[in-house]
Amino acid sequence: MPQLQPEGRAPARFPTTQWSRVTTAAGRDDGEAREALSMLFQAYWYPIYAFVRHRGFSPEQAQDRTQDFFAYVLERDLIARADPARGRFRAFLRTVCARHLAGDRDRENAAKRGGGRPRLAIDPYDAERRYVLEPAHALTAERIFDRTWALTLLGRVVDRLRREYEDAGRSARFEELIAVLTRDPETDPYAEIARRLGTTEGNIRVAVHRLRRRYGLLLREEIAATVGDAAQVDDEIQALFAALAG
Amino acid sequence: MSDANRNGTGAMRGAETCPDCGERLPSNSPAGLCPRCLLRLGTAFALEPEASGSPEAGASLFGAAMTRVHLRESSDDAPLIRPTSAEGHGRRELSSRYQLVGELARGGMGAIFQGRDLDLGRDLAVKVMREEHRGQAEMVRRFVEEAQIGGQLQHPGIVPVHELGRLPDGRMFIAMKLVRGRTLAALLAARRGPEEERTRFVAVFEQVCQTVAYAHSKGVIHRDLKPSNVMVGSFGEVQVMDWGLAKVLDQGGLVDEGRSVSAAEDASAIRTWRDGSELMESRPGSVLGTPSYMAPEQARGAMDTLDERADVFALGSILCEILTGGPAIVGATAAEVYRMAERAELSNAFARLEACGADPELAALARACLAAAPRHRPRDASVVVSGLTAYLRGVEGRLRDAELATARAESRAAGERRRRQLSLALAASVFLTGVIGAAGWGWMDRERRRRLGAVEVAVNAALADSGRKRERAIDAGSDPILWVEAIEAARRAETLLASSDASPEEKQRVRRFLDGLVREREAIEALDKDRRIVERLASVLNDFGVHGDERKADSDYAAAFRAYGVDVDSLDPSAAGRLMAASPVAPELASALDQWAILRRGRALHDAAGADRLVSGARAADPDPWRNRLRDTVGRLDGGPARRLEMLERLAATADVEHLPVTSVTRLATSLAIFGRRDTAIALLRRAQASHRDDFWVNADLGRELMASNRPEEAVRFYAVAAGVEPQSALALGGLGQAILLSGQPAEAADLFRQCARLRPEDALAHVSLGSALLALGESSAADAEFAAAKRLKPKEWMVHDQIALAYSDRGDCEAAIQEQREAVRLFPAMGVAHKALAHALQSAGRLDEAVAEFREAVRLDPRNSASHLFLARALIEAGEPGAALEALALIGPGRPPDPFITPEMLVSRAEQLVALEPRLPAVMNGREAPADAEEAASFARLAFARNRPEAAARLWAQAFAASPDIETDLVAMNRFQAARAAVRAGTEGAGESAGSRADSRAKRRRQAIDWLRADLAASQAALDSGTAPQRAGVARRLSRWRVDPALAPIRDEPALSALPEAERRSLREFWDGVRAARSANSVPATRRSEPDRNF
Repeated sequence: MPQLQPEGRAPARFPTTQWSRVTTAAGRDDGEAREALSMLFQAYWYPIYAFVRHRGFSPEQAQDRTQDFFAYVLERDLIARADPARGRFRAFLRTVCARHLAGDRDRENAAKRGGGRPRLAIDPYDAERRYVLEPAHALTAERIFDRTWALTLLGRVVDRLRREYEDAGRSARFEELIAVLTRDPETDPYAEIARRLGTTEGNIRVAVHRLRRRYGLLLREEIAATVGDAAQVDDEIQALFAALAG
Repeated sequence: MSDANRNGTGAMRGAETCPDCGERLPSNSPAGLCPRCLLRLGTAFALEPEASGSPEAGASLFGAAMTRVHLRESSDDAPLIRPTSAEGHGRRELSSRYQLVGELARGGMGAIFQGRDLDLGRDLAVKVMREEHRGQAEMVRRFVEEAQIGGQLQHPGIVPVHELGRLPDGRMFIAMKLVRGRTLAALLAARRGPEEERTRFVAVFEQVCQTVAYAHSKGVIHRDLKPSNVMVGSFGEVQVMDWGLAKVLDQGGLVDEGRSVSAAEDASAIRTWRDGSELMESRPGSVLGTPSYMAPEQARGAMDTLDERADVFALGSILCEILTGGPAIVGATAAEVYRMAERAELSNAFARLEACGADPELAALARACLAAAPRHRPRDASVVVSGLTAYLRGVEGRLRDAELATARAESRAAGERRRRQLSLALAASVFLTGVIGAAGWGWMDRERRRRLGAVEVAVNAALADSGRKRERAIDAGSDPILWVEAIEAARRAETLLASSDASPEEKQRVRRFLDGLVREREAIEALDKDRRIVERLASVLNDFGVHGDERKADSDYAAAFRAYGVDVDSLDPSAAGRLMAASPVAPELASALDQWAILRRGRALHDAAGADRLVSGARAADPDPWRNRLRDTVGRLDGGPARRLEMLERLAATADVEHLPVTSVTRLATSLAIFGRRDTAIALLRRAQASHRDDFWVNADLGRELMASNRPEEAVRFYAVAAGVEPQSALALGGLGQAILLSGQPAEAADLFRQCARLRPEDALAHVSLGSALLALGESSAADAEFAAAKRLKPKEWMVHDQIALAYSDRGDCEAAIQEQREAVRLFPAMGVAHKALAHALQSAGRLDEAVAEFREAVRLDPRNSASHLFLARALIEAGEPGAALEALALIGPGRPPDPFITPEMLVSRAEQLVALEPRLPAVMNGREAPADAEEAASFARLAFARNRPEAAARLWAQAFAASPDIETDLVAMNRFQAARAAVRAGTEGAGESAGSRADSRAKRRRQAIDWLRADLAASQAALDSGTAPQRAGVARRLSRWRVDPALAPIRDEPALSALPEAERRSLREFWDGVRAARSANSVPATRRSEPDRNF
């Protein structure tokens, strides 16, 4: 039966995204796809951790389960069931996570530690430190997932941006500029910053504009990595926006 | 994360809220920045082309970030095409295309109007949003979502959405199919009680579940299922309406994520919507404003986290109402119902389900759906569908089993009665009882017994053995071996006694017992011989009905009588008659002679003298006055056939069925049937059967006539009785097998045919029948083996080939049938009926020219055979040569009608009509003249196609259909199919007829052809789903023609398909897959003439 080309295979605006690489995996043993998936997981393990913690598990249990879950997704060929034209990594992960953990309360996988299983690099202290900062009010676990996802994503973008400036030897400038990244230009003390950095206000305006542009690009790239194609980036932004409500 | 502390004016570290957007800052936000503002920044850059080059920069009709609905894909369809905002939403003004005709309903949300699509000329429903909701983003979004969901769900049970757009005044509208019918709520309210028409409602419920299951498979839940949202059309078609509250579940779905209102606002929006949707129901009988079908979790307000199981609950509540008369939650006020729903108070519902008296499986299904906790309910609607299907299949199976059981019981009872009668009859004539047994020897005095000792024991044993064998022989009917054994056992006893010292009286008694046995056997054998001759004579008549060859029937009759010992043609009629008169089956023999005489008087044999001889023999054999009067009536020639028929009918009306001998009645019935009055014959036989339940011939004749009238299901019962009376009768078993096969039970039929083949190993046709049943079961290699066996048994028998070919064409395998008939013609080239049979096969495959040639050959070889002329004429009419057809028809003489459905008169009038139209044809084809009405248009269309003007033909067909939908939907006349053939040819022929025909007009014709074919397929599917077995078989046979008809080859066969554009090719392949699926889903083989093929 002739098939229409699913849109995920159409040439994207960005180079092939990680998520689309995962979903076009030839099978469970597709090395590149596994690697792409590992990278995605390594970037976004924290929402899973937060999700599990919110369900009431201890930090150790949450770590174990996060690792289990990672291995589970890799090993079970769930990727094959994801569809590039429809799903996004975040939604996919959250759904699978919810289902996997929902039916899983009694299964203790502590025995299956180490020994050839793929593992994520999770820093337990980092994990807990971040979790402690999460708001305590009663969101559903799903909302927690989305929220922490959004924050994780934004954090990564900012980090990337920072690293770029650090590599170019301009960390000081970055720290100044980043504070006004989102501020309304009219109210910003560009003059003050210019004085501190020893340059003109005009230069600072240009620099801020450039930073914003770069930030926008990186943000969209980061999001695109987790969705099927570039056309869905705006929608994902909307979704993340909603996730941060309240 | 950097620890730089900043206290500057721009710093936000330590602040609680973002100065720009006012939202609270999370304590773990990156760089102390407000995450929402960060995201907004990302969006802003999307709108700048140089930043990201995203394509959705243009403002869409509904706002910058319109939500787009994506449904879950199921594995068996191609990915849906996403609507992008650039695609003409509401670009067209409403006024240019749609015209609002009148208001249908009005409510809180908006109003529904009836509208007319001026482009396509169809009625539809237009749902328009209310003025005051215009600014409310949430309502707008819901409205759009409803349209998008409806637009993307493609299912017969979901109202198709045609368009989403804006009126000139700015209000949004949804244009969708106009659904006519009544709501399920109205229908439920209109019934007197829950027991009434339960089956019908369960069938409606099944369709609702299937529709919802489809939606679930697409990741959509309805959230507002209730009987007032289900429309039922007049044919039971079901549509689930009002998807305004539907939600796309999150597997990549967007809908809930784009929401920017809080849950509380959402709930109130939903309530507004719900209230609105309920107020819109001004239809009578609807339930206003009660959430009686709402799942507990839904009533508690958890609209966010609902899944398919909320719908399942609603389905359970609907089923509960169907079974018990009320939904799951019943209360006095809406508030009370809400409360009960929230608390999941279902005990009342369960109690009602318990007590309603419905089938326990249904009640259990309802209870499962109504479980308070979602995790205890079926996971989604498809699980509910499986449960229903299992239940319904069980019910159907039980019904059919009940019918079969009745037939079996009747036949068993018949068999027992007959056996008892036989025993009694025999016992009366033979001295038997009281001779055997140890007690019988009691009079011997002790002394002699001592002497006889061992002998006595042996003799007793032998006699007892004989007695038992005799019983078995009687039970088994006519098995000669058992009789031989019984007699041998008795002889053994005699021998033992002879050499012993027994008294002469003892020896005498045993001798008498032995004699009695022998006489019994002879009597039974005589009966059997008579039964066998009658059966054989009956099969001669049966076979004639199939092959139609009078000469063959003539020689068959002669052979049968000779085997019986009466050479009718060489003996003097009165001598022959006397011989036959002595037999207990004399009347039947005489009947057969009468039938034979009719054949001899026919055009093919034209042997009046021979016929007279037979009739005299019959009179001599059967002096019964009533039957002789009948004989006179049948034989009379003055007044013509009409008068004869009239007198026969009068006899039928006045016959005293209860008191006349059965043979007389069957004789009369057979005469009526032969002269074409089958219905009267059947009525007569029924009356006879009521008075003579166990008469073999009444039942067998009734079975035969019902089969010939395409009522195999009714025939089953009577053949079953006949088989019960005579378990060894190949006629009864074969007839029963055919009837069961044509009623759609090939497995049971195959068993019966196997029995037949065992009974009569020399009967090649039994193997062919078995092969036919195996074909119906899909076991084609086993079927081929049986066909080969039949051909091996009777290589010189044309009927074997013919029956095999018919078996193939019954299964729709036109190619194999043609091949088999060709083989038959090769073997019997001089046989007219062989060419005629081949012609039929060719015509059924659409190869008309070849068929005409073969019919002509049949006529040439056998000019006296009326049927050949008749069918040649019919083919000529289809080929557009009505003049030649009339010539052929003129050669049919008076006499027996050659075909029960198609009469020469019908064909003559048709041909004359066409001849009258012919002179106007050129003008009509060029459009200079118009046909007078739809029928004329159809006739002109046929003529045009036959004259090789497919474009004109297609146009004329379209005209005919536009003028008369009945012409279009007449499946039996195959009008739409013929139109499609014309359109295909018009759409694929290289050189156009008129100068300047373009590729797109050809494409238009092709599309038209496909539309017609699709409509036919849908109609055929409907017939396949709900027709009687012969109707289904006729439809299946017509569908199999589609796959081989040469006229459709350009859109069906591979090399031609590749010349078409890809999209078209794909949709064509899909279409043909659908046809194949429809064919293979049907397992009933066609009958020889399932319905009259009126395609002329």
